[in-house]
Amino acid sequence: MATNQQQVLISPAELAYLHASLSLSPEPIRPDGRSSTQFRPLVAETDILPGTNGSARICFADGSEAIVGVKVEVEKTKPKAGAMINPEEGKEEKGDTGVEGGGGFDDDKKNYSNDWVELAVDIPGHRDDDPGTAFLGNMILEALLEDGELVKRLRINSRFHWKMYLDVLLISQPLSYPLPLLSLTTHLALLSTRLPCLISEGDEDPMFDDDWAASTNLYPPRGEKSKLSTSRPPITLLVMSVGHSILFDPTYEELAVADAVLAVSVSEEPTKPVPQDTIATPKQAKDRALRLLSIRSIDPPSRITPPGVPNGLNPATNGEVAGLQPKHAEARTAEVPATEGVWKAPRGGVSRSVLSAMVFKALEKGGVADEVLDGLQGVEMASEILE
Amino acid sequence: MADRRRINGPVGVTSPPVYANHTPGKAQKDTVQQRPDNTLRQIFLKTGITPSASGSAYLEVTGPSTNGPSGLKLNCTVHGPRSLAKSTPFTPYTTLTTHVKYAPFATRQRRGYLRDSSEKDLGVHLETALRGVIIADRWPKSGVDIIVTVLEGDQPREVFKGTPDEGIDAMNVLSGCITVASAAIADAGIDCVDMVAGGVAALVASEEDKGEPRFVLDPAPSEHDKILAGCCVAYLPSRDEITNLWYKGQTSGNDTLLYTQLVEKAVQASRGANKVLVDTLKEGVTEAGKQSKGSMEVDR
Amino acid sequence: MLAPAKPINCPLASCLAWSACPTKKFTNCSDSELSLFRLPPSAPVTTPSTDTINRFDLYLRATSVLDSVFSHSPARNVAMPLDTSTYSMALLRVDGRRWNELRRLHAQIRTQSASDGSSYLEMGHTKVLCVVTGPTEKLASQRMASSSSSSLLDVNISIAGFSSVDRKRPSRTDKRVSEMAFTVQQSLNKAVHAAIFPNSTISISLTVLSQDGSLLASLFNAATLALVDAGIPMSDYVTACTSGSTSSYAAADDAADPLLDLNRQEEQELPFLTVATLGGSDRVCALVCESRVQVSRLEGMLAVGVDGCKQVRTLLDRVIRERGAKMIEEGAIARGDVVGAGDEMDTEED
Repeated sequence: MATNQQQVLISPAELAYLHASLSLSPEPIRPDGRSSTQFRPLVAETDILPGTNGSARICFADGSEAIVGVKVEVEKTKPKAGAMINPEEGKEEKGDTGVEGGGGFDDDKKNYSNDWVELAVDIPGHRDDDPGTAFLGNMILEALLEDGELVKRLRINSRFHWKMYLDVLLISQPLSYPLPLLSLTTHLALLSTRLPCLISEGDEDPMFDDDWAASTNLYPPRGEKSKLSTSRPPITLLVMSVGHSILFDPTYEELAVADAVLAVSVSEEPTKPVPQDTIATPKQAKDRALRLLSIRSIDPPSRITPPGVPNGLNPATNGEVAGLQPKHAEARTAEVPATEGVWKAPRGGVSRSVLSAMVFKALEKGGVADEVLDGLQGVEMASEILE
Repeated sequence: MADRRRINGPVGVTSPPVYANHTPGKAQKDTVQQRPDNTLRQIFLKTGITPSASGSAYLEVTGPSTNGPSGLKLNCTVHGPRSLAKSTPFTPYTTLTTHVKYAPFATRQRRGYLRDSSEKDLGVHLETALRGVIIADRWPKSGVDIIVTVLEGDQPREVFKGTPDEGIDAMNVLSGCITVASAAIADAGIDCVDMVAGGVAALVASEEDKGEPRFVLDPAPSEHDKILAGCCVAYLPSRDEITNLWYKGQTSGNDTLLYTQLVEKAVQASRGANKVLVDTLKEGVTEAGKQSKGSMEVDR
Repeated sequence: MLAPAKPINCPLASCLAWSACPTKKFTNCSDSELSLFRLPPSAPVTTPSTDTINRFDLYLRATSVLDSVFSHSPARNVAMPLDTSTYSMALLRVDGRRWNELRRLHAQIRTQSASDGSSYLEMGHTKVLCVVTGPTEKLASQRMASSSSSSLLDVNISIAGFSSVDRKRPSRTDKRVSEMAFTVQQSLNKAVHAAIFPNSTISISLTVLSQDGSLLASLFNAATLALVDAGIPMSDYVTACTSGSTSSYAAADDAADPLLDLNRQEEQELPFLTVATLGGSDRVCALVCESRVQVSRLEGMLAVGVDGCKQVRTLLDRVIRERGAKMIEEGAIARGDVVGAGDEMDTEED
């Protein structure tokens, strides 16, 4: 995890308090007074950089800020392995037969490849080859590719495709785990992405309309005629569990006492392509079907928090405070038993039922994923009105 | 980053020759699943193979067909716990570092000597799986390095039409890494809360797209045309807990049963691997000094 | 322009990339881009490759202070008629500016709440974000590393992959970028009262979102604004801008006139230098010239550059003052609180 390489700077007493207040049932008490499923308020804007095909910026209330820029280039599609290779093309394409057969899950005829999308994450203070950064990038990319819709939209014809570069920049220092921020910003940037209008036909070399006003959205807005399905890019939510509580969008302090942290990527179930003559009606939250794309567990920083020392074992209090008898003198070196109100880093994993509960809560109808998608749709619509 | 320290081979790949009488398409796919869906492939596990390391283990999973060599071969060494450098700040815990590296020849596409992003990704997964298992507060101010080398990466040698995406072989590799690292940690004598083992399960579309998709334990990438979803867990059997969960696939959010079943199957696979792990370690204890082969078939 | 698409390695690739490039948004588009856009399809629309920038015979860096020699220079008085009403249309630049005009400069401070100081600066289409964290205690590792050169500032520049026309993979080891970071760090170090913060570090991280010439100058200006926002005591603003010459070196045109604030297209074709001065004075704290130019032209270019820096200073000062006034209005700070901050920025010209 990108942020937990550094030490957690919270004292054992604070950790014990946080743990106790967050594991209260039925409703945990969070340090910022949010409910367990509430997101922090955020400011979002799209289409901020005219030099990119699509861009977005999101600021969380805690001051963390991210910018995502999307650039596309035309690239020649490599022939799929095992496909017939033209004799004249065979020379230059030699050695390409090992290309990953990615994206093969859908339509084998159409030669999609996961190599069409490239994503780079930049976190200040971390090298770009840092394992935590690589993990973050792979997590966002995994959801985009598993969705399968993005790659399909990048196809131009059987010989050419768009190569998409996503540059994800975290501008502020990583305060909490930046995954939700980066994922939401990527979602908005993809929604604002426009591609030049294709005016050539069939498999000939692609020609584009040079009028930017004629460009088309990669994800056409709702209510517009389109031959593509009305899917939206996926989003990744961060879910953590403490005791029996399940919390969404955890802050740095909350993560420091987490039992388990999961990143859950979801997207909307795409509807069938709408025939050209009918207009797709905007979807209501009620009939939105969600799709589970990927889940990853994230190493909670709680495992490397400093443990508290119970009074019974503390040499400073001589083990005799508040009528507590010094139990075992030798116990200092042996295992410290779990004591109420004394912080101890969690050990082991979490049970299957807790993990399932976390996933189900994210996918719930009218739950957090729905709410976030609605919020993002609001941003999308606001930017349309401005246009 | 370009690797300037070593003499690198030519970029790109060299594929083994494909002969003309190979008819493209279905006929090429000669590996058909021979074992039942709910069994694992054969696992070979041996500890203590690198004398210079604190602990080490070697794991092999057979390929789908007896003559095809495309299985999984992993080597793991554990160094430590040892004291950290003086300049590092105080930690009350063992600092765990994990490295997963593919050998250049482990996959179809040649790998470079420097770790690429997918290898680092696997390293982070492995760290997540192991950090919960090791009782880290018993060694303050110390570090443990876990290095896994993937000698063979469970990829079919030939690419044919319906090869599923590379996700599932990465999951198989991760699951192997978890099991082999667990054995090596035990060999090094590092205290753990339980023996962790990895398990993979997948939801596979049935042949010719007829009938219901089915669940397969320990799926071999070359045996299946289309993998709908995959799941890899690191599971602690005696505590009934999961330290690492990695799920990938396209399943409907309303159909949560599918997810639950898939995790259940992955846990089942992990239990199987755990049996091999425990037997190997027991053997290592009883026949101390004399290392015997701990190969056995697991059927469930 | 309809550029036929070819694989990206063909000679037309750059045109192709251009046709796919979304800068063709006519709204909010500078004239420089429009004129670029009017190039015939066969004209090479190139982007400056960092590898091909040559170090020519003149490479001048003055991080030490060049005292005000230029106030007596004749170039300033002779250079151009300042009465621009009679300036002929023929002498307008590609983006419609006159020789001594800056591009639109837009700046904001306090753009991000999590950091100690932050700023956003646009010089034409060059867009830079700056975040300042600190002063903080130096880490043990940093103390070890920088024991020889105890520098208060730690400058980090990241150039976004999408900032130029063609997408470029960002690389941390780019020598050009680290050289820019070093220049900014060395020059700002002179302006900051470093003695107040012993054994501490202030990290300045600059993000380039869009590039259209005058990159180094924008980095300087953004960093200055963010430092002011962070409340770091400085002797004055460090402001920078570029200046160039109207004809290339090869033209050997002695009558070439100086130009102020070059955009990307001009930078590619004309010799130019970046100059940073300390506030309203003529004290030059950084001077970088990486192109071949006759010595005789240099003086005029420098004089125009120094003059531009003064204009930039006025603009930046206005941004700071407006923001300060707004904060007092909103009650974010009390009027009496602005002891140091206000005085510091007051200079003799007020």
